[in-house]
Amino acid sequence: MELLEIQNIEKYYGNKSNITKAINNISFKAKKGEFLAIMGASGSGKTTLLNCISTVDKVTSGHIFINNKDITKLRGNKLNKFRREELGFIFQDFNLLDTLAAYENIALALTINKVSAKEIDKKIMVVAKELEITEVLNKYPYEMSGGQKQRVASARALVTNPSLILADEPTGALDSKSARKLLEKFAFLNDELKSTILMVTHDSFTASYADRIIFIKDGEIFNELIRGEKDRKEFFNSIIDVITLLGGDVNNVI
Amino acid sequence: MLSKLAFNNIKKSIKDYSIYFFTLVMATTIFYIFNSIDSQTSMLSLTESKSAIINSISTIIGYVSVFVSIILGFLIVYSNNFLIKRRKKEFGLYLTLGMSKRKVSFILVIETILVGLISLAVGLLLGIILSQFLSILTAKLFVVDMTSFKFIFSKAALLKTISYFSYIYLLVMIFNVITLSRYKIIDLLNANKKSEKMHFKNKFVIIISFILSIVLIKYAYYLLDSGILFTMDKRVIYMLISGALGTLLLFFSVSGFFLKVLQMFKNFYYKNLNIFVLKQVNSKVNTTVISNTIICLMLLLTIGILSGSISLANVFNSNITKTNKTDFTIISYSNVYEIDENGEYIPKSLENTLPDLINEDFFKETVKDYTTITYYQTEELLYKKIIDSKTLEKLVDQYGKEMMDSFTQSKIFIISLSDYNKAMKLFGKDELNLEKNQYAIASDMDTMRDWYKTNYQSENTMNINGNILSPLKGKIIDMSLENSVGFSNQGFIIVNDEVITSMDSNYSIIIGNYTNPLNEQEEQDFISEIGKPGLNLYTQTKTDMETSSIGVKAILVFIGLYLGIIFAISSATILAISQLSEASDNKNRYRILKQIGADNKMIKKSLLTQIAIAFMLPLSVAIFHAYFGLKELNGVIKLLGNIDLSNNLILTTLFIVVIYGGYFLATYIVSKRIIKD
Repeated sequence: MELLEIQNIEKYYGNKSNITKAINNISFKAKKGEFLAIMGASGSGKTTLLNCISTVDKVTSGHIFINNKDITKLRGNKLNKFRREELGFIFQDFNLLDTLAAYENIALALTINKVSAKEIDKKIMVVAKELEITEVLNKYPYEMSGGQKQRVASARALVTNPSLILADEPTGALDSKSARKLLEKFAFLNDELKSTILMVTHDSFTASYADRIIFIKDGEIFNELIRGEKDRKEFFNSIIDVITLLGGDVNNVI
Repeated sequence: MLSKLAFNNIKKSIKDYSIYFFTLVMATTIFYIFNSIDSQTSMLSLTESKSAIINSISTIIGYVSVFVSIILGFLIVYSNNFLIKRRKKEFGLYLTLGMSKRKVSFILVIETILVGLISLAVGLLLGIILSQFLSILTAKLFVVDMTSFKFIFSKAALLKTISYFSYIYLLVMIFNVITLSRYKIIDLLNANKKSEKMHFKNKFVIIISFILSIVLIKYAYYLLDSGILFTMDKRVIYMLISGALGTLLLFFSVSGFFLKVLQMFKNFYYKNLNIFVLKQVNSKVNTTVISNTIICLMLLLTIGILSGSISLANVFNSNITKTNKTDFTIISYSNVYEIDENGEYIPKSLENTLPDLINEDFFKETVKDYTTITYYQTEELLYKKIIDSKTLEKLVDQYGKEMMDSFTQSKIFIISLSDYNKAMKLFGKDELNLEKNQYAIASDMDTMRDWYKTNYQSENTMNINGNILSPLKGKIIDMSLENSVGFSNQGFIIVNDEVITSMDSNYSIIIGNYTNPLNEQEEQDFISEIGKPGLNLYTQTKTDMETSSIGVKAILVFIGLYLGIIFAISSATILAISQLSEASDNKNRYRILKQIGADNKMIKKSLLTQIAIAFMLPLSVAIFHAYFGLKELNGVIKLLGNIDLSNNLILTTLFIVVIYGGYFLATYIVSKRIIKD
């Protein structure tokens, strides 16, 4: 069953005389329960793509369906409601509110959805156990490590039971040990809880945890890689191959 | 190049800091307007004595202006410092680009000069326009007609405003340069990244401070209630210290306390953005304790000064005709001396002085009709005899023992029925009839008549000079005899003439009317004739009373408005600027809220709630304090005249709503814009 379907979307910036095509005719699908990664260099259009899917930005043309609902047609409060109920976000810089304790940060995602106070506690306890953050729930962001913060942010994204979790460079601000732990959690969420995850990254190691990787270059799909039966190491090697083909490391000067 | 940079900086930030600019302009305008009062005289047809009053008002305003400029200096330096801190990253950028600190300072200096020049120019222009309207108020206060419309411009006020504000901006410049020189480049660049550490205070500390603050404030109210406004001893200082400290502790603990309480109501706490709003408010408290206390104090002063000065002004104004029924009062105290043939001063008996006057030619020429009234006292008849014990108890509670003692231990004045009725005849009022064994009390003060009422109506008999007298049935008479500025007759007793015999007279007065209306000069001549050696009598005239009443009223109104406006805009500006800088801090937080699905309505509501709490917290504490303070002050003012302070609260409220509310609204609108982009 298709959870996400992207049909010929385009995103242009600028005016008539000077158009930048950030996304140039991209189409792909994602199944429910899939862990999909999107890779590309800086300026390739991957963040724009994520912004369009997350309804933060609007496409110039084309359609995006999530759960068979065309989200490019949603406006105003319906859009907010959709974003609240169907999507969960994880960001590179965690985006936790520094005035709130971890527990309250997670709770806020629920209170916005008008979940009752009784249920909030239950839901937070469940998600905190899954992400191993139970003991930091009463701490404030400045008292936590980067890895803990990102797991709290993940808990916040997960606690509303969204259809789709969008992660933008989730390991970008983490050291390698924390990054590994976080990605293992993602894999666990995907395997055990059947969460659908769409992750944008430029890091091959991070991407190697996904089931499928879509490579983007200059606003177009360049390649697609499916893990299939490969283990993570083999998959990692094939990612490196594609990147070499793309023109050096993604971070490299081309 | 640098000045171009400075100019662009101002252009760029003028929107965000519009409230700061507005305050600068307002301050300049107000400063000019009130300092230009003496130039108002040119438009009005004023008598000499009224001109003299305006002159003394402008002298007083000159002194007040020094005080005002100190307040404005603090306000502007404080706000400016706030704004400079917000630009750390920008300065860091300049420095990394290779600019020297001196050059960056130079940019700041040029910016300050530009801001100063613009706000001075706009403020003065507005001031000159608005000061034309002030003359309408002046004309109304002085009960004169405007001769013709003349454009008023005060060069002195203009120069004064420019020089005072130049000093203030110079101060700002110095502060800016000092602030800048202390910054390190790395701190400047990381200024935005540094996440503030959240200090949430210990539960016990909060609860103890909250309780302590309530106790201290309660104690201050208790002291206030014990009549210290009348005694003015060192307990006033205790009250102020205890009140200020209590308020400080209240601001320190109140948000933490309510946060703890509200956290217990899970259904409220975990609803919409409530967690965010509450935590947000609480997190700012650490940095705002002092400023909240100062803002609260300034608001308290605004409320106090406005309602106090307007009420007092009304005391001196509304009843001037009621307290001046004749053209003049001549008073002869018993300590009038005359020089005998050996050149020694000997006390001159009263009976001799007044007849001397009455027989003078100038007196006969000027005065149409008059009457003499003599006041008597006896040792046995004190004020406490006409107040019943229950009322007295209440009064001691209200005004304090010392004040009431000094009043009740003093002797009551007594006048004879025939003297009283002569006065009534002069006033064109009905004569009073007393039975043989009756007495009556007259006072023109509502408060005093209330004090005596119970005792008077219980028909207790009184022993006056060996005669047993009972009160005349009915009310205490609302009457005064002398010319005075306000209600001042604390009460005198009227008895039949026979009762008076062999009593000591205390003083006599002559009240009377002129044959023809006197002009200012003629009246002055008349007064000095009466005051000449030999007669040595003191005169109060209706014109004098009217003029001084107008003078006191005008001083109160001008000073009240001047200080009221300055305190109100100062407090509102400090709040507005701290809220606005918070809004730009919060930009990121609101972005996060949006990303996790909060809609615009929720975000706007949370912003409004936060700003409303920030504005309402010091105001509500100030209103609370003002309520108790004014209640006491009301007691004082009631003694001066039959005026209730609460009537003027409407005006004060309106004033606060317009100025404070205006700043509140502006802050909300600008904050909304800041978090939008």
